[in-house]
Amino acid sequence: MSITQVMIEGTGGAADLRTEKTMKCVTVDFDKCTGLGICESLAPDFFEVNDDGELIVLKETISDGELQEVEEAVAGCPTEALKIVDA
Amino acid sequence: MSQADVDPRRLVVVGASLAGLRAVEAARKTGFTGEIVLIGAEDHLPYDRPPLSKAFLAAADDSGELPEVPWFRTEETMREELGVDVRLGQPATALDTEARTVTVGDEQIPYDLLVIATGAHARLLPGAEGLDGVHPLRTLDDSLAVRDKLEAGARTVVIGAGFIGSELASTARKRGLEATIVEALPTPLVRATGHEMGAAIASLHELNGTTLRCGVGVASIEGDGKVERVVLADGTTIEADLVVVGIGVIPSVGWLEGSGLMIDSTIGGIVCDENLWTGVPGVYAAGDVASWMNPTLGERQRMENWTAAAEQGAAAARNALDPENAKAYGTVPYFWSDWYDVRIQFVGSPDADEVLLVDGDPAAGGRWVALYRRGDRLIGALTVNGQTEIMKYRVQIMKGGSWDDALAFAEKRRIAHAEKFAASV
Ligand SMILES: Cc1cc2nc3c(=O)[nH]c(=O)nc-3n(C[C@H](O)[C@H](O)[C@H](O)COP(=O)(O)OP(=O)(O)OC[C@H]3O[C@@H](n4cnc5c(N)ncnc54)[C@H](O)[C@@H]3O)c2cc1C
Ligand code: SF4
Repeated sequence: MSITQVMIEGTGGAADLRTEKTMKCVTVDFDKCTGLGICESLAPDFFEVNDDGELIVLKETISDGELQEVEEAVAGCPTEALKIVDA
Repeated sequence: MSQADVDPRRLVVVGASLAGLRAVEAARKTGFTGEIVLIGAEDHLPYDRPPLSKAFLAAADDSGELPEVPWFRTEETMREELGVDVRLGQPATALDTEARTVTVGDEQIPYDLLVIATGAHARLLPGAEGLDGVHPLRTLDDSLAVRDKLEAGARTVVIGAGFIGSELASTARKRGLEATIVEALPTPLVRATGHEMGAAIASLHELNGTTLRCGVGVASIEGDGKVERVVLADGTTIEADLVVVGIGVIPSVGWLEGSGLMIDSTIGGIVCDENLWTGVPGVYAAGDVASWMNPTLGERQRMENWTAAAEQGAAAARNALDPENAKAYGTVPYFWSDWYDVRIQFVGSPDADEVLLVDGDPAAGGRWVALYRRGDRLIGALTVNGQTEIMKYRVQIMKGGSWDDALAFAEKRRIAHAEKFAASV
């Protein structure tokens, strides 16, 4: 479980910040991924590139403590193939 | 959002490419609500450079479509979603750190915080100006011009056997064109991968039908209006319709003359500390233009690779916005290069006491792995077609892993791989 702050645009003021509970998951767009493996070095519990240069997702669900490393992997991916989504 | 919530500070980012874009995006991601101005010398919105010597130069697919331009973001995303005032097509020409302004044309653009991400530009070959068909390969416009020539079936000569020139030669071969690489040094890629491995990687060219001439300089590039031939120092003449000059890049710091920012006299670029701070209030640097102290390797470095530019862009913006909580940017450098059907990957530093081949045989082609030792520590790793190996070494280097542990790990992987291979035949 992770707590995220959701900002609602347009209505103005600090009341816009409300707290919501969601499960987070990581997804890969395999049409974009070229198997460069940066994600593996940043989040080795989640990703591994195999012998054929294809990315294997070892686990999808992200716990609180893991969110930062997966976020770094998402930002590090040169092909923007990774996304964190609400499960 | 009400007026009161808007951060009064203005962030100016100079250089509208990878590091600059990541600076803008990171600033917004941390919740920065102030004004952002992004200044770019090129007419184009930010685009991705690695494809420019690879996929973007490929021949048309079955439906006759050439590959699309690798834009990062649409203009709408830049202006609407990121709320950036994008100023393209004119370079910044001066920085006044007292008045806190950047000069663009006749305008002085004020900043509170500044991220410099002006990257690097291609080194040119003196004397080849003005001949049609002679190109560097750094920008989208360069790549479009090169692609036109490849489409026309150009006989290609590449000057400089670095990564970009090698990728270009490999693309020309894939299109079935003649390709020759001329390299002035006796061994290519020494700065990036060290002596032993430079030669081993370069052997991929001969294996794939590209002629590689090392240890010989270019005497002249000749032609009448357009290029016709390259003459080497030993008198050899190579007929050519396209000459790509890939002899390295120069950090784009010319516009900072007189600004008081310190320029690194050995590796080039703007001198920064671990936090990518230049030492001048509010001024940070990121990407190919930044020389910074990399705490992970304990070395001052200037990177010319994608991963560092992306990460430094984001780190510089975050530190600029919140200097009290600034975080050092440390990394195990990483780059890749695609030649023929081979992927070359390198992590760490090539500045080593020993380089050891731990798996495979470069002469036999296929897959191989080499490790780099400094003292008793693993400091670098090179793989050719070793996609499943490379990042495991990056993690070890990141953690300061020992040489002995790396060797033991490599041996385990080698045996596992050999067994898997034996089982599959
Ligand atoms: C053909 C090619 C292939 C590559 N392949 C790989 C690869 O396979 N793997 C890898 O890791 N890396 C690769 N790279 C390197 C990678 O693309 C660079 O490291 C990265 O682009 C650096 O980003 P940057 O934002 O720091 O600088 P740059 O991308 O150089 O961008 C700097 C921008 O600033 C602008 N600028 C300069 N001066 C001024 C000024 N005074 N005012 C305003 N704007 C200015 C420039 O016009 C440019 O648009 C490749 C590079 C090229 C050219
Ligand atoms: S970093 Fe991106 S491209 Fe590379 S393997 Fe991971 S998802 Fe694929």
